[in-house]
Amino acid sequence: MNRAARTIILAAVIVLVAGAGAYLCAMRLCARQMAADDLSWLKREFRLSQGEMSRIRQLHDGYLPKCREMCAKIAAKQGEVEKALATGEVVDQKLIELGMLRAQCQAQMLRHFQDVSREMSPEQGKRYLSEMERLTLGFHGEVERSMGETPPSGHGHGKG
Amino acid sequence: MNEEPMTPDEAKLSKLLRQGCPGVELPSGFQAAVWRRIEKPQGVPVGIMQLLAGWILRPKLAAAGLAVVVVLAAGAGAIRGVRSGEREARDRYVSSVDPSYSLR
Repeated sequence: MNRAARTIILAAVIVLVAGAGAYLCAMRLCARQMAADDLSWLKREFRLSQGEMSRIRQLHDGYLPKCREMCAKIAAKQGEVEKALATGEVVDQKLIELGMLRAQCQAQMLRHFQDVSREMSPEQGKRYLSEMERLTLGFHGEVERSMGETPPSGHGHGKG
Repeated sequence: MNEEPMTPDEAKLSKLLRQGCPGVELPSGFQAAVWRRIEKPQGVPVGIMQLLAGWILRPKLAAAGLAVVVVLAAGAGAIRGVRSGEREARDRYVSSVDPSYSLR
């Protein structure tokens, strides 16, 4: 390999390393800046003022312990169901209780979304509520809706 | 036969050639042949590799080129970072209010 080729290869390597380094650093810095804390997205997406943000932050901080408590209850009940299944016990009552806890959890979450939406302008609040319902409860809704469709195997519920 | 007077460069070359082979009679036209060999590469077209290497070795051009690449790469990285960060930030909020969201 002659000197000119070596120079070109070395330059290409330097340019590649510098370019890749700049790309990755800028990408990580911007991504980190965008997701600085739990509520960063909310502030940007729904154009919240400082006042709205501080009220929503209070609501958020108040909601988190309740959410954790509910998660702990659901996990404990889930453990009970698994234990009962392993020992061959009848699990009907425990499954009903688990379902009740899940429903309570969803209802509490929905109430929180409504509380947060009331702190926003009516237009943004409506958009927030619909977006949060789509992202959280909407997932379960989609799964349940798909249960009503007839799969290729021909085994379906709710139709025919 | 009239011999033209030597230019200073020709005189220097003649001296160097005599020093290189002391005691040896140089054939006639030897010096002219050496000049031809020296001048020949200037007329030969330079290859693309030499041209590129020569361009790269110019510090100002190399620094400017590197700066352009770094700025463009950083810009592209920033755009990508903002896009992925937006989604990351949304997922972070939704996961904080609905822990099951992060498991999907």
